[in-house]
Amino acid sequence: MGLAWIFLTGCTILQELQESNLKRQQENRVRMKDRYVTFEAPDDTGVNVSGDGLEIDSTHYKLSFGPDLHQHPDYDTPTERQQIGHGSLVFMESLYQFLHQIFGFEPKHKIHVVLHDIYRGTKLMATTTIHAQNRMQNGQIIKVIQGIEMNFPLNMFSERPVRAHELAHAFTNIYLLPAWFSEGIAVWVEVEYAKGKDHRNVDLNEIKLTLDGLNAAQEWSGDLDAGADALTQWRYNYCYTIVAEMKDRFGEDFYLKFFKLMEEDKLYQQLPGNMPTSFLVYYLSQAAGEDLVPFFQSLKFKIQKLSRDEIIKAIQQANQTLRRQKRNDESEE
Amino acid sequence: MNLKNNPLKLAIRRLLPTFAFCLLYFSLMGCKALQILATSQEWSENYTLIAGTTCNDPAMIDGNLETIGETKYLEGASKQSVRGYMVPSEGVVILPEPKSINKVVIHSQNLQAFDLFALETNGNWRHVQEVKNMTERRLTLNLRIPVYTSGLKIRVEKTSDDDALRRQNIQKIRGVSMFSGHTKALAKINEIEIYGFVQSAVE
Repeated sequence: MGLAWIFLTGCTILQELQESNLKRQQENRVRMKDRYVTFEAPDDTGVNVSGDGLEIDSTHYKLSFGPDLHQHPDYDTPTERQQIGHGSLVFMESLYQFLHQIFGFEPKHKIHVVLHDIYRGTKLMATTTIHAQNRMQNGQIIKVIQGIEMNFPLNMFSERPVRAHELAHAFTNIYLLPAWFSEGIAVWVEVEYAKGKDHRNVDLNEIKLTLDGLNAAQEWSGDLDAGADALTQWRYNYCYTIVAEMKDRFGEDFYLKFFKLMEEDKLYQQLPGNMPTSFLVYYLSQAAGEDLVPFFQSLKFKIQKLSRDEIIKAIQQANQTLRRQKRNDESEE
Repeated sequence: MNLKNNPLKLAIRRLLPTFAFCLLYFSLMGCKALQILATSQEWSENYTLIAGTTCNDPAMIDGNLETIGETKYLEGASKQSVRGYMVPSEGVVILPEPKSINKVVIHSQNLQAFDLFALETNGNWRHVQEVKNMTERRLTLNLRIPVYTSGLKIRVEKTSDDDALRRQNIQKIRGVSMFSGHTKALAKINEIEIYGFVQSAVE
């Protein structure tokens, strides 16, 4: 009896130890996958490589090499370009799946990635540009996305957080978002998902104001061509903090809801210029289920509360003006 | 002599069940050990191709020797500092479940020296082996002691591209070294393969 009891107890203890060990291993794996941002190899990347290795296509990308890379020691032979380019697109396809899960939608166009040795005179700037065109459809002017182009100097392409940042722009800028929000979303992906260390949370109450007494983040064009100024780093951090704060307040699926609302409405396509912050806050409030105008006003953003009817009316007025201008231009010709 | 009360016999009687139990246990264990000894050692499939395996550059585990993946710089140190520019890079493979690993094969274009680490159950990385002079593009590491783990990490110590990168990113101005970028190149790895043994009894 005693022996049987000892045997059974021993078995139960061993089983429990084994289970807790397996659980610990599982937790470690998840932690390591998160820490090192590891991805599964995509099932089928659909990669097509040109004979000279100058153009490589995959399911969601087209990769090409800038002229200054044709002489680069790592890219001066077709085999090198083919192997490195193919490998890069395997990585980018995995990253694409990763961002698709975060945002719940994907751009309809293939993303054109161009690699350079030096881009716009520097090795420290990567950009993502959305090419859009105004078109007349059923008597209304709508913006149609023509293409998405990402430009990287090699130096930055090798950094996973930078790739994730730019890919976040490629996904979200099809909604022609205000620059401050677009950068906030991109840094949010860069820091919280791609584990970048270049940006951090800041205190939302430590606001930098313009001479007009408005939040300097809202006024940001996001264009770094003129070079970074004293507030650039703060702007990145501040915009990221706003984006992260809203996700913390309204839940994991907050941005999934937000982009779904925008996509269903498609009003962004009818806006004459870039999206104003008041328009953005209308959708953020819808996704949050509460009015966020007071929150943004407390951060010294210049916005007003808009209803859907007011947005539509503003769009119609702007489009009328555009049509009138177009007619005038045609009659002058 | 009264055998009934013989203390030796009493002791034998008492110890007999324990002895029989031990005999049974060791015979069973012996059989198992013999069985293991009698198995043929056949290499398993490449564990990195098992669904659910992840890597910090999936081109290193896509089963295609024609694709090149790159190791990634360690995050942590500030980038715009000498320390940040000198950080090594790593290639990390996480398996969906722990495996007993006997062999690691690395196909690389420029890797020359690296350290191999295995993920322990407590979440730490244990140093497994140091490779100081990789001269061929394909390196087979036969591990003398198998490693039971769900993750392997390669920390790059030297590549054949380091010297060129240092020349590009370190300039001496009046005897002072000025750093403008990384001093250790990323390792270009076509594929990392991980194998164990498949146990199949000899017929």
